[in-house]
This record gives sequence, structure tokens and C-alpha cells, in this order.
Amino acid sequence: MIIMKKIFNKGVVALGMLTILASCKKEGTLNANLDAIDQNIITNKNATDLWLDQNFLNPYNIETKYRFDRFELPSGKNITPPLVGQVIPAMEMVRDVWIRPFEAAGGSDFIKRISPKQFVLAGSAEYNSNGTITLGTAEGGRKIVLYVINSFDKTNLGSVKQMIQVIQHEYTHILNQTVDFSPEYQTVSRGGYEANWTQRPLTEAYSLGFITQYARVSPGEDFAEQSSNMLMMGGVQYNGIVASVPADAQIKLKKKEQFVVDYFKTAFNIDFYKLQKEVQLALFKVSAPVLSRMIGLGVGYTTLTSNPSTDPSQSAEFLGLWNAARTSMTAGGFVLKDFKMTFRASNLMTLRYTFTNAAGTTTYSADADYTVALNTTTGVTTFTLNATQPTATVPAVDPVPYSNMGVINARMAGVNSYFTSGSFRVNWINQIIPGEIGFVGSLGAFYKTTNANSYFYGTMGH
Amino acid sequence: MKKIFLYSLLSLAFFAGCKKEEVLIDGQRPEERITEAVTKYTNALTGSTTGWKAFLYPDGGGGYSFFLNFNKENKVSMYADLDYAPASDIMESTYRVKAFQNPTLSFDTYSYMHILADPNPNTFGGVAGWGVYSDFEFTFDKQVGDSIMLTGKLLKSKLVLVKATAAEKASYDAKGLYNSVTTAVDYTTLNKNLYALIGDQTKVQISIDVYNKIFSLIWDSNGEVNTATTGFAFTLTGIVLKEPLFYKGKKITELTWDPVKKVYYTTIDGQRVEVVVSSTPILPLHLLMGLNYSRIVVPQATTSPGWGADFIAQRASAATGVATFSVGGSRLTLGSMTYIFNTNAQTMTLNVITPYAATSLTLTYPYTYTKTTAGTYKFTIGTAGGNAAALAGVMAPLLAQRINVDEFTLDYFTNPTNGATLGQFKSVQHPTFTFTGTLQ
Repeated sequence: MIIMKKIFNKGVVALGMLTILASCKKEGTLNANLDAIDQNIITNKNATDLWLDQNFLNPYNIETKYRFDRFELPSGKNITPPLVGQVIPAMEMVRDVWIRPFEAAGGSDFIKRISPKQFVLAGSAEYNSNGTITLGTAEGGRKIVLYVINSFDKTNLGSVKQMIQVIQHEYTHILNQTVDFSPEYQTVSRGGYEANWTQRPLTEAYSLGFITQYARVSPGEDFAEQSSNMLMMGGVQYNGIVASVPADAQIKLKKKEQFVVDYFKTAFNIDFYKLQKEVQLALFKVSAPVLSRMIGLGVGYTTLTSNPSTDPSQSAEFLGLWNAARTSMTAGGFVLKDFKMTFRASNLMTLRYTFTNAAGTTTYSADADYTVALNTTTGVTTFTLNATQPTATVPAVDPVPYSNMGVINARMAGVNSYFTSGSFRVNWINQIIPGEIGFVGSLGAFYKTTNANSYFYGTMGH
Repeated sequence: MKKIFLYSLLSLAFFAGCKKEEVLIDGQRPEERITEAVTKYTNALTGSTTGWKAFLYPDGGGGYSFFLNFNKENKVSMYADLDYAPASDIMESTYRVKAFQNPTLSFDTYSYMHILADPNPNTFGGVAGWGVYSDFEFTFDKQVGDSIMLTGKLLKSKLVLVKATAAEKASYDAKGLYNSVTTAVDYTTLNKNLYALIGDQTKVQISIDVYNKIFSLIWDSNGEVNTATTGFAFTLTGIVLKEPLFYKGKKITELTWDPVKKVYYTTIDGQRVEVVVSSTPILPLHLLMGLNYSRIVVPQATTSPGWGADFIAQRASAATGVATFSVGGSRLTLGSMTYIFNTNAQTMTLNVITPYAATSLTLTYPYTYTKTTAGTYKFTIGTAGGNAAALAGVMAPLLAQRINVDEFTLDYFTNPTNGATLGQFKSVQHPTFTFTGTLQ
């Protein structure tokens, strides 16, 4: 009854409206010319405008607004516009480091299907009342504001990473708006979310399984930080950080990594690791990876694994010493297998030889601790023996260090003294053994500073 | 139900009355008026083929001049007096004339003008987030003859555009602005004390702060210090003030450099008035004591430039007396003496340091004072406490016999060895009781 009445009422109003419209109908076309009022019409396109049309507007329907528009920026803030000359270098990097990898991993039309519709560029940062500055913002999956364009340097890796990180982060949100991520994600670091994240240290965030402090804001930000940092850090740095955090936090970060990988696969059929690799390759074009800056706990690679008996292209000097040690080990009833260097906190390195009994039925390990002095700029490195048989390595490589070194030390003397004699220079070995550099599993070598033809090398990993 | 029917009926009646013929107040539709205004200002800007002299007075103070050349492709090239490089190297950026509520001139990509507003304090100083509080978007206020007046949209800075002549454009392109800036910086660095005689015989001190772009007139009027201050910007020929400054009704709007005589001059009532260089400060010290300077610090010495024979003798006598006191076996010495002036409270505080061993005592003697308009001081001692009272007796040669009873004048004293300007006390009753100290 009540419903009936309402419908009837609406009917009367609708009837009335019809009458009103009919009574005011006018003939004729709209004759107002609003060109002068429309702020978005650029009548005199310059070279920068045309470049942006060709590279963003036409292929992707993404507008790039670099000319100052008060309404695109936070009100009440004083923000200066970009230098015209800075626009193309910045947007080149947006294209090469953000768009192209997604096209390679997700198909050539991926960005065309899902993308922010507008980039707004600002020359300066946004200065906040609490003394912080804002380097990037996004709203509603539609618009991304990139700040500090005037100090952008496309040849500076840090500068490029800072800017693209913002885009990757915001783009993850946009992807999440298309397909939401698993609600189980937020259970991984449950209890760790914290509105007051700026006041909490990074070490605390790490220990709770967050990749950054900002990730603690909410599960949504956590997911965006997790995904964008894995892309921008690359596997080497990301795993180096994971290896540096407490054991339970490592488990949490690995779980989150898996959630991200699964999400990209199921939602968009993207192989996340391929995407990550493409992003890294784009960054390597900005600045080639330097091995000396990529070794260490929390920094990058933490292990070098080598099997000189079978790995090709060994240097004559090192192989000679290795084979002599093998012969000596055989005489002692053992079979020498390989060695592994683990780079740990406080410049410590644990050297581990793996060997078996003559029958090959039992595998043994022998550990020794060294202090590593590695100059990240020059790559010059020395190894100094700390303890042949570490009784308690702190922090431990394994729960208990192996104590067989005393048994085989004399047989390994030649190889041991190779490591501690003189200094090395660390670098890739792709000049001798062609291969990819800068990824997990790339080959790294320590060359004698006095003789580059004498070296040992191994697979870099974690 | 009843109500809705009623409203519908009412609205029907209302809308049915809608008219089809529009009557426009001035015969133009709003978008036509806006288009006309935008076109008018755009044409005005691009119409000056020899560019515009622009004077920007930020909300944050000071003044800055630019030379702007707008072309029809929405590009603007400019010089600016912000620094040496902007004054000599042309920079191109973009601009637009936009239709907001008022037609707006927007410098919409970074240029010399944005340096003033740059929120990064490392760019041009100022405050983080704001720079020196300037604008780069302006609404057109009015066009008067060859000038266009504009106001900043965010902070209400003032911008004045004046059509440049072909000769002026040629001068800008030939480093004219750079030379003008260099001249002013060099001149003011070399000549610290400037004044002019504006209509009478009072020396009106002129201060040209080339770094903050502040121009001031300072003069003495019956013992009172008067100041008039405004921002200024460089021109091809000198400087122009943000707004005219007045000294007794005489108006100053700009200074012009005379490259032959190497002086700045201005024209007042048709008369050329030159800026004069003085080797000593213009205003008497007693007017600035407590304003520009708060204290005179007399060093620990037996003699010093500007110290008269009587002061040297009386000080030596006091020093001997002070040395009769000792703390923990270490004898006191007579150290530096600081005379601190407070003009509001009309007080002068004398702090006497008496070093001993590796430390010192501070003896504080409070005074009130009176001062004649001519600048003669009479100090009256108050009640000193503690150590100051205990040593008042041995300090008598300086205090009870001189400072407490004599009248004093203050004057500048130029140290003959290093040229530094010191402050000097002169006793009226004992002409050789004179002493100097650094002005702080």
C-alpha cells in the first residue's frame, strides 16, 4: 500500500517534469565557443607536447600534464612547475622502466588496458607542515603526481628508482582495484599495522615482516610496497634484505612474496619474476650493476658457491691448488666436492668445504671464519682467517657450525692460503664466461689484484 | 500526496513562464566576454615586439626585475636580476593566458620567476615550502598606457609590466642588467656609509641591501630615529623602488647610476640629488646605541687606540686595586668592561670581568641614565650586589670618580691600525677621560 502510494507520487512528479521540459524546449544548436575557457586545450604544441602525444597519449591514452595547473595539486601548497627540459628525460624513464617491462611480461596491450589516465609533473616537492616532503601521490587510480622533476637525473640510478618506485606503488593499487588481492594477505603480519609508522624504525618493520616502514600503514599499502619494492630492488637486493631479518620475519616476507607472485599469475597471467627481471634490465641500462656494491647481508648477495672440479674456465693457479687439495684429500680417504662462501653480518665470511667419504655415502662439511674487507667502490677485497674451527659463530650460518676443518686443514692448506694471500678485486666474470649479470645466480669472481689471470669464481646467491 | 501535487503545480507555473528571448546586459555572452579579455591581454603581451620590463614585488618583501619577451607560441624568454647568471643568460619557458574568474597570466613551466617561489630553501633561501613568498600566476588588474598591473593569485605579490623600447631590449641582450647588478653590488660593498641631502641639511642615511632587495632612508629628527623602508629592483640604469619613499614630503622613486661620475643620483623637484659616500657612519652613535648596537665592549689592555691619558691612569689605578683581591690564592685582574644599553628602560649595565687563574668573576653595576637630545649622557649608579659591591671601592677611580659623576658623549672612533669603527666614551668634565670599545 505504501509502496503503491510512492510510485503514484513519483508518477505525478515525472508527469510534471515532462510538462516542464516540454514547455521549455528550444530549437537550434549550441553556439557557445568555449575554447578560450577550456584550460586543457593547448593550441601551440611544442616539441615536448608532441613527444608526449607520441609516447603516452596516442599509444596509451595517458595524459601528461607538465604545465602548472593549480587544480591538479594540493590546495594551499606552494609547488613550482617543472623545467620544460626535464619533462622528456623523466617520462622516458617512465616509459622504459615502468611501461616496457609490463608490456614484455604482460603483453603489448597490458598498459593500454589498465593504466592511470594522467601523470601530473611538479618541479619541486610538496612541503608538509610536519617537516616531511611528498615525492609522489596518486588518487583513485586515475592520476599520479610526480614531484621533484627539476632535480631528476636520468643517469642517476637513485633518482630513477625514487621516481619509478612511486609509479610501481601506485600502479599496484590500480591493479588491486581491477582484481583485489587475497584477503589472507593481511593475516601474515597481523598485529603489525601501525598508523604512526613514521615514528617506528625500519628494523622494527623488518622484524615484523614488512619490507618498508610505510608498509605498516595498512594491508593495501603493504601489498603495494611489497610488490613495488620487489620490482625495484630486484631479487638480489630483496633477498639480501630478507636474509638479514629474523627467522620468523623471513618466513613472513617469503609468504608475502608468494602472495604477490600468485596474484600476478592468477589475476593477470603475469610471471612476476619475469616482470621483476625486465624492470631490473631497464634499470641496468641506467647504471650497469656493480658487483662490489651488491655483496653483503641486507645489501645483496650473501653466498658464493663454487665447484672448481667441474665448473669451466677456472684460472690455472687456483685450479692447480684445488686439484692438489683433491689429491691430498683422496689420499686421506675423502672426496673433495665444492666450497661455499657465506657473507654475514659484521664483515664476517664463513668458508665451507663439502666432502664425502671414499664411498661417497656420507657428506661432511668443514667451516672456517674469515673477516672480509671489501671496498664497495674499488672492489678490492682481502680475506683474513679468524678461526679455523669456529666453536660458535655469531650469528650462526647454520644452527651449529661444522667443526671438521681441523681434520682436513693441512690437506686444504694450498687453497686456504690462496684466499688469504694478497688482495682480490671482485667483479663479474662475464668477460670470460658470457652470461647475465646482476641477477640471482649470476657468476661473480675474485681476481688477484696483482694478476687478473688468477681468480676464483662461483654462483652468487643467497 | 496533496503537497507534491501542489508543488508540481507551482513549479509548472513557474517554469512555464520561462522566456525564450534572452536579453544580454551588454550584448555579449559570458564566454564571449571572457574570450575577448583573454585575447586582449594575449595580444597585448605578444604585441610588444621589444618585450616588457617587469617588476615583481613578492609578498615576502624585496623586489625583482625581469625582462620578458612573450611570443605567440606561448613561450616567454627572460632575464632576471636575481643573480649574475640570470641577469646575463636568457632563459625560455612557457606561459599561458588563462580564463579563470579573471584573466590570468600563468608562467606555467619553471623559469627564473619560479626561483623566488621555489619551496626548496636551497634554491634561493627563504622558508622551506615557500621560498621568499612569491607568485608565478597573476591576475590582470588593469592596463594603463604602456603598463599592465597584475596581482599574484596565491600570495598577492605585485607584478608590473612596462613596455620596453627597442633600445632597452638591445641593452638587456647586451648584458645591461648584469652590468647594473654588478655596479650596485660592487658600489655597496665598497661604500658602507651612504647619505643624501634631500631638501635640507640633514644627512639622510641611505641603505641599499642588494641581497634582500631592501632600500631604506634613515634620519635623525630631534633625537628620534626615523626610517622609511621598501623593496627595490634593479633597472638597466640603477634601481627602482617598490613604492615611493618620502623624506619631509620629498619623494624618491628610483636611483640612477651616473657612469661618468660613478655616483647614484635621483631627481627631486627637478633637482639632481646625488648619493654621497661618507667614511664614517651617518647617524650619531647615541641614536643607534640600543637600536643598531646594544653594547660597547672595552678590551682588557693597559692602553688602546682612542684611550685618553686620564682614562689610562684611572684604569691602571683601579687595576692595582683589583689586584689586591684574590680568590683561592689567585689574584684578580681587571679584564674587559661591557657597557650594555637598553633604550626602552633607559638603563645601562656595566659588566666588569675580573679574570683569575683560569676563570673569572663578573661584577655587575646597574645604572639608569638620562640623555639630552644632543646626546649627552648622565649615568646614575644603582645598587650593586655581592662581589661588585665588595670591589666598588677599588673600582672607584673608574666608577665613583668618573662614570658615576661625569657627563658623557658617545661617538664613533676609527681604529687607525685596522680601520674598524669603534664606539668611544668622552667625559665632558675630564677631556682626556676617553675610552673605546668594539660596537656589538
